[in-house]
Amino acid sequence: MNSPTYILGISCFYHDAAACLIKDGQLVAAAAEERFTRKKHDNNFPSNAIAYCLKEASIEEKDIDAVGFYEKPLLKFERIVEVAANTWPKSYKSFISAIPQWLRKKLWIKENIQKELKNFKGEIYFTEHHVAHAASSYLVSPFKEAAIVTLDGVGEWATTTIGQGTEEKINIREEIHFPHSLGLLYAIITHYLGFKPNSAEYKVMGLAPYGKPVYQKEIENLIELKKDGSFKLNMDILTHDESTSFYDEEKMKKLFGFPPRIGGPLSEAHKNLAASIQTVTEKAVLAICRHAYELTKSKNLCLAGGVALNCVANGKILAETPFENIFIEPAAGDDGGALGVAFYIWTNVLKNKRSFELKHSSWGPQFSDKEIEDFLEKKKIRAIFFQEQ
Amino acid sequence: MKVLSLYAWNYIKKLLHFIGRINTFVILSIFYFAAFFPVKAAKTVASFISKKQNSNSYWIKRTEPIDPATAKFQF
Repeated sequence: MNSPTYILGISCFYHDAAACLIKDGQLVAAAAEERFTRKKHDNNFPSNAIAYCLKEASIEEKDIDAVGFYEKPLLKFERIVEVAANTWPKSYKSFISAIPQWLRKKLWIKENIQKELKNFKGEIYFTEHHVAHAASSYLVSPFKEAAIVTLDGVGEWATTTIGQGTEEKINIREEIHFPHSLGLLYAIITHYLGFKPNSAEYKVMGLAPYGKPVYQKEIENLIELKKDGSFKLNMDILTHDESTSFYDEEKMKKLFGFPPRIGGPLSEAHKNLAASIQTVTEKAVLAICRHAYELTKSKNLCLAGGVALNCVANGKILAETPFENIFIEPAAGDDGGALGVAFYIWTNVLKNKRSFELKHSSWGPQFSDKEIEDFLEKKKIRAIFFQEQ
Repeated sequence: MKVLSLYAWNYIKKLLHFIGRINTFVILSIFYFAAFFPVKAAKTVASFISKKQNSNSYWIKRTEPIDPATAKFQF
């Protein structure tokens, strides 16, 4: 009898580090590093998540056959250098601040993996960031064919892609490149509203229904949206390509009529701005999905990428586009990339058939009532046990 | 010959000393103008032409299918 094939998927070094393990094409375990370190969006090498995955499968590092990393580091570095060159000398500060991290760890992914997994002797694979996103949704969906839309801040160059899945194959057909990014625009407005970008976008989405989209025109001044869902950001006001600050503060102040919020209470204007970015995002997502339908003519849609965590926008897709079935990867952000690369290796690199369908998202550590009780007792925390009804 | 090599070494030292005094900004700027400026200019022209050809869409078509064999590479 052949020994099973284990593939470990890893995402890390940007945000939301995670690991996932599959055995003969079946998901065994998946977890984000933040669940173990209690650091929100922890981006460090997911040692704890890997240890958990191995424990769950009762195997050791030497039993892993292949490791997949969720993006192509050299392509991403090419983007960093090229964008810095294109916007030189304005990009001097951001380039100098980014380079040490790249030289220290981000350029040496293979070496880092080998250093962390000393007993692993298999092959290390890399997929493009958006291919990992696309794979994380389509390859574990119930569909035999589907349109695939990925939307996030940025991967290597792509920020938005439309692809098509057929059996095991994923074909990316169209994409939009950095600095034009729906995810980054949402992050920028999140920052303007005084919240942490790449983290608190959910707060802006939650704030939106309390306001009215009175700044829609102003937001549409920041993003030129075409009928086919493609878009371009106004780089005269936004500066995320050339500096560590996201925007020209004076120009933004002039556009919205109020300065960026730094703490303090939320005003009507802040709520209205949240409603406006949400409205424009929904408009863009729906236009992209309609275009994806035109391209693929599939009735099934798979979504992934950080913007696919915007459940309010997702909720409108079924009602307002021709798609009849939608599958959204529960960990649609970068943590899900670990899942995507692992399944991509199994199906596309090792040429196996798809045989797994993701029906729930509970693939992380679980604790029995006894374990919880022991912990509370050990920490001398008063607790009441409610019996299940 | 020995004198000549001493002269050469002296000049190399002076050159190294001079380079050492130039800060990173200047070095990177020289690098930019030498290596990236022509690339940027070519890209700007290409993007201008493509915009002229299709100004109703910002989608970039991807003609090559993904080759799973490239998963071995970091680029």
